[in-house]
Amino acid sequence: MRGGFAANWWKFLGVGLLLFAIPMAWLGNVSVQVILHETIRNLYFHVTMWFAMIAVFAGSVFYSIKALRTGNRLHDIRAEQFAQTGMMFGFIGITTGMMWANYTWGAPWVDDPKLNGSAVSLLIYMAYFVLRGSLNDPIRRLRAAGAYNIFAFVMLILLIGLMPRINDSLHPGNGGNPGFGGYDLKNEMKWVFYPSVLGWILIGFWIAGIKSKSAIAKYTLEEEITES
Amino acid sequence: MKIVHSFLLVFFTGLSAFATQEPISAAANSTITESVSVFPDTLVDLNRQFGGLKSVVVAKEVVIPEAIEITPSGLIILTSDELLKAEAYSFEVKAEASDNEVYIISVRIKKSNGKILVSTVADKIDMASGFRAEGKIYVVVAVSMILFFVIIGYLFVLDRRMNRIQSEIKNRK
Repeated sequence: MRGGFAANWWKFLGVGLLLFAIPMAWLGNVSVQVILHETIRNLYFHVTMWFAMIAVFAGSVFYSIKALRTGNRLHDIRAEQFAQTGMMFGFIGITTGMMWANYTWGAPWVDDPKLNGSAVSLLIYMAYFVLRGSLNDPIRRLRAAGAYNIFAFVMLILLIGLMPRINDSLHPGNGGNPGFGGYDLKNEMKWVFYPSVLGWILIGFWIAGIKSKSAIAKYTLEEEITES
Repeated sequence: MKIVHSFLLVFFTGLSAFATQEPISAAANSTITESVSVFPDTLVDLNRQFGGLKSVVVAKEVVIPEAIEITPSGLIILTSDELLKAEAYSFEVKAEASDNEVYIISVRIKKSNGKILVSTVADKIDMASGFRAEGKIYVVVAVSMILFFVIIGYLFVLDRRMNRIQSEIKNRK
């Protein structure tokens, strides 16, 4: 790998954290809860996907702002690839959440602000790709998509971070429900949960980075062809 | 199976300590009603009633009446009569038993003709402790780790390949 360990240490960190967190997700002690039973272990898999999604979307916004400030189209490409990776995590989050909800809340989709909020924010991000696809002029695409991406990220934070806390939600930490500290969750679960959140975030950045390299290579080759 | 088990024990030695211990006999479910008329007084000794309880805890989200005190050893104590205003209370406590299983004990306290009636029912919260004791969980761990290793290896290969392509494009210019 280029740059050696000095430039790639965070990838090893991500892998290392998950090498610890995945076996511990199965083997570690968990709180014994009435409805959840062993499905409480989904905390290490389902919830981490949402954290990874938000982090990768934040990376996308970071590159969008960079693209808007500098007008560099490579940053615009990176922003798109990061948003795509975020969508992947979002879809994993939705499907795993539906599986979990079916067994604990009785239905795959219940009328919960967090569920609807996450669905709406994923739709907003889908519109981001539609917007990109509809603009052929690269400069205009960079500006419009960059501005929209900032809007989409703000909406994401409002819809899945703020709205469920104002309204009633079945999710912990929302609508009067206590968060991590308020529930009968064993403290040692945090020692598995936080490493796996950080691990999946780093893996998410890594995937987005590989996708960006691929998209930039494609872009450079296409530019060469049009120039010649 | 044994190979997988020993492999995991070699590479994740620390993890085996967290595996659930083999369960011993389960605490029996029963319903007992007691009546008391003196305050403050111990209403029920859950440990005597069900036997083999290691610790009794009130979950953070559970609200218990002010006049009730629950000790970790399983005593439900009524501190004063005056605070117990409603006709009936019901709440749940969690108890860890000596078989390493967790039981939910539903407590119902009712006032009736100046007497206090307490009924308790213990229910085991089903966890896959048998599955764990048999060591079958290590199969799940092994499968998910193989999946993880392959995907991560694939990512490394892809990353290297993209770097090579990137430098090839750069060198050509």
